[in-house]
Amino acid sequence: MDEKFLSIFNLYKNDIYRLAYSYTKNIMDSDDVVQNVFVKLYKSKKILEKNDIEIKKWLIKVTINDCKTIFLSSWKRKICSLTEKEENTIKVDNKEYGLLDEINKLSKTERIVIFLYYYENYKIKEISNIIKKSETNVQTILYRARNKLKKIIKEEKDEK
Amino acid sequence: MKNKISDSYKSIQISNNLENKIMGKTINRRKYNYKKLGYSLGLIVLVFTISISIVYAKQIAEIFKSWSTGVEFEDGTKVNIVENANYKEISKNARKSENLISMTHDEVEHNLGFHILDYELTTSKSMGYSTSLNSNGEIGLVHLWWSGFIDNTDGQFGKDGDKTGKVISVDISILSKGAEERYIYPFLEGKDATGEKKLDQVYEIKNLNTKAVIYVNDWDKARLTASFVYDDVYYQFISYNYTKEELIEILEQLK
Repeated sequence: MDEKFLSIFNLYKNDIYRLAYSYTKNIMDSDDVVQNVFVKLYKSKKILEKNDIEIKKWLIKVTINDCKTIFLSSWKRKICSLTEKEENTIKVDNKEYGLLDEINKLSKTERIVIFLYYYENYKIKEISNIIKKSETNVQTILYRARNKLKKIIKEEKDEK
Repeated sequence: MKNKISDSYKSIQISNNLENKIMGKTINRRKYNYKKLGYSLGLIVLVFTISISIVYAKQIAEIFKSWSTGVEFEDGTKVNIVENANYKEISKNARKSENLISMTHDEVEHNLGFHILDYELTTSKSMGYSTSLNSNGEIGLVHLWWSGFIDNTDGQFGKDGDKTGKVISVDISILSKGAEERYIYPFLEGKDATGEKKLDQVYEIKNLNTKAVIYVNDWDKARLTASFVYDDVYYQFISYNYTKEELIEILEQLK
């Protein structure tokens, strides 16, 4: 069971961390969430018996839920403004990595949908199942997110 | 656009520190658990010991409590009779009596629940039995006066000042567990504290594997006393007109 966990951890640790960061935009929160998620996985022997794809879907769902929990806590609401300081965010070289700063300007739901669709390559139906929204709704979120991104990029270009 | 978005996430990676943390809380947790288990068990044992110590403080203190006694002589020297003797566990059904009541040797043993030294050639097996009670009503001290241990004078010894016959009386004292200080103090001071006396010999009773302090009282040269403690019971063999050798011979036949 330890070997299976280790294999899953090495396979998905960065993906899950990226998802957590996409939602929280904060290293400290992402660390907490990812730690909780993998500890939960380690304790869930039944989940570890499933195939890798199923386990990953479970990890994504749990990560999103944990991110929501962190944001819902009153503690988070109070100190949010402090922890989102610069030292708690990942600095990105846009020339090399592209659009992370722009993506971070989208709403939480939009960021998640973008991540799942473009990075994880999930289909609309799968995303709908993961974030528990209708397919139409996911399509709409995705459409809006793309348009917003284009707009942000255009604005940034114009500024330069 | 798709590749650009996908590539955007490549800069985000889990740190080594976080990886180690997660490993520490999952796969490496077992080692941690053993340690934790050890600490937990240690803590449980500690709490248990403290609780027991608090609840049974009095009983535990009694276990570790002991008494000692000795004899102080004319020249100021002190000879120990016993050190670190235990308090006796006296049967809960033992009879309580402030006044001396007559009991046979067997009755006394049965009543107290332990052995009292005996001698085959005693004149009488009867002795006086009395108890001193603690303020809680429990027995603190048992006193036995075995006047007929050896007496061949038909009870005439001492009458009209006649002390010519050979007589041995035995004074036996037993401190019970929980005995109050007032009963312990005379032992610490020395049971035969009054009167001038001279040490004759400290004799090792081989039969009982205990030492007896043998001494003579100034005010009665015919009186030779041997004091010793055997099995946490204090014995004073008070003899009249016995030589030290004769007294020792009897002590060696006690059983």
